[in-house]
Amino acid sequence: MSTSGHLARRVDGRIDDRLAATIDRTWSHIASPGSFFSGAERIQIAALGRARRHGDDRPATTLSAALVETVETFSDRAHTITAQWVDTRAAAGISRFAYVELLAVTCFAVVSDTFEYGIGACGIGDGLHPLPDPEPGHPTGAVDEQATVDGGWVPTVGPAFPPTGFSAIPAEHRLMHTLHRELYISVPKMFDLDLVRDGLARDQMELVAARTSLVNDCFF
Amino acid sequence: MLRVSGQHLGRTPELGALSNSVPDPMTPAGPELLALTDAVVSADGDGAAQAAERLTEVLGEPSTVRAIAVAANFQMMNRMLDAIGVDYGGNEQIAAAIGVPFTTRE
Repeated sequence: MSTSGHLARRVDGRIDDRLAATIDRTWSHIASPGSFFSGAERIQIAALGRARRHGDDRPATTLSAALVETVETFSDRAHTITAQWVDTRAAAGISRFAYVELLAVTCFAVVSDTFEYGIGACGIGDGLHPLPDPEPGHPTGAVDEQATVDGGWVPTVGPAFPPTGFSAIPAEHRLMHTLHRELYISVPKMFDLDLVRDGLARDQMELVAARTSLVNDCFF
Repeated sequence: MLRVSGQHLGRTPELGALSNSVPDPMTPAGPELLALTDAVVSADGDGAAQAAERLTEVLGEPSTVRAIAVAANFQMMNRMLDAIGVDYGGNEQIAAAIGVPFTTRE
């Protein structure tokens, strides 16, 4: 199944082309080989996270038990994560760089599922759109060599901070910033309090952001 | 950012509305925005469609789609920040302002 144009076809022009293209690009990115995981493994990560969020049975997977537990924790109880738990991931053989990729893929799938569900392009459970077929190829091993643990629990380029969260893995870092810019606000415009997007004033966007954070028990 | 942006725009945001401690966040279309956010983030069956319809009646479809996009973005940011250990400090004060209990994870 092709991922190209998936969302644009479903919503039939109700959302602008850039948003549709961004979500389509996100699915394509998930299906492509990453730095530590193949496209097939990344699709399994997305499927595991989706099933966990919706209370569905765990799908068949070739991923290790430690990887599965990590993805499921990111998916529905990230607010419970502690430094000690992150250490247990490393002890279970998940490098801190691989941890970042696992987290990024889980997060990107949540973004796409939430957006598509919200605009009515799909339902929940079996109504969610089928995950794309994985792209062939091997993991690249690419990391940013400048990334070190700096104030957080994982390597980042510069101090751990919202804009640097996925910076250890360049491809994940780029997509995170694309999503942040296209769905919400670009980082350089974060302090533009007069910003209006599609008729929504800044405080209205922040109300949505704050409520989402509360639902997720996230206080950052 | 909610408090800062609201005050910048000459409004007096009620942070307690985030936890339903007070009914109105004092943000235009606030109750409709909160209802849509809850329904979308919780994947609440028919609730999302109904909440989107109500918000569309008030603000129009482009604003409704943008609100959904913002919620989707924070589904990512919340998980990322919780999982990588970013801590600004002051979380207890934020929880108190919103009106919810705060439990340290350590």
